[in-house]
Amino acid sequence: MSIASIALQTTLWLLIGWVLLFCCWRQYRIDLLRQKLFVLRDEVFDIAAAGQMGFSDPHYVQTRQFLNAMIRYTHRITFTRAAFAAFFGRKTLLKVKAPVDAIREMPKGPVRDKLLSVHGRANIAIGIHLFTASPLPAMAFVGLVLHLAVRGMYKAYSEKVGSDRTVAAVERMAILSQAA
Amino acid sequence: MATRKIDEKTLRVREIEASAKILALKIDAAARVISTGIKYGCLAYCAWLALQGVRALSGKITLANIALNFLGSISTNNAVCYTVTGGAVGWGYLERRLRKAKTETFQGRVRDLEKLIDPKRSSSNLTPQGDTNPMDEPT
Repeated sequence: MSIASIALQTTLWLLIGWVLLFCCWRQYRIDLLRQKLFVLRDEVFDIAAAGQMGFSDPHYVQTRQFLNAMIRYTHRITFTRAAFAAFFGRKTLLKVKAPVDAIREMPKGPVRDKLLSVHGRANIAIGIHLFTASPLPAMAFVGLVLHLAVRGMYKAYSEKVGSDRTVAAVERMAILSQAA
Repeated sequence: MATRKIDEKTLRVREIEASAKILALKIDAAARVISTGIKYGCLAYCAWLALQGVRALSGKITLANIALNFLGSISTNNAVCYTVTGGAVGWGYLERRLRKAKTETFQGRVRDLEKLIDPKRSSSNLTPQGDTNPMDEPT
């Protein structure tokens, strides 16, 4: 294979990779998150349809509005936005009351548990989406986990080695040999 | 006195919400610039690589030679690879089209049935196919 055809093939595969990554994969992850949120919205509807809470109950209305907003703006839920919001929005954005805060104040019961469960699962789905919709944070996340694991292993190993008598004896032998 | 206290509280909440909205807009704009930069930066990098290859070969080899070389270098293994990749992409595209058509068919029925039970039913404002509303500017 000549250099020219290798260059051509590499460019072609890079372009295919770009299309798959930025058009197909991202769109697929958006659709997947929307589907998960639609399922949760149906679940909330079923709770109200079963008569456990009214359709005009503020907790129902707020939860539905929250899920609708997430479904509508799924394409804007990105790692970059989340990172910016985490860095710059702690003091401002987190002061705004979320629907889940009102649900936590509800009297304990099955409806409260179900609504909290819906919010919890929505948050987990959004969290997974943040790290999987774009490969860069996914790779960064895997790298971070590996780094922490290796660091932890190294730390545990060095602590163990530091307290190991065999290693200490070998070290002393080396020091004595050096001195001799 | 009590009314004044409530008014102050409402005012404070509105103030917080307004500043949160402004911040959200700023974050949105900055994130859009970065995401677009990464997306098209990668495309520009591909183009730059291709250009480097063309520059290195300019005058030494013709486009027809490159194309012939490329086609000639496709072995049976490579051909299987290209066919499977192309087939998978085509299949994915057709499945996606089918899913959107099904979504469009069923969403109206679900919406109408739910509206019978809850006349004030709110919507996510997606298109009937389940895509982002063009008004919500896709990024």
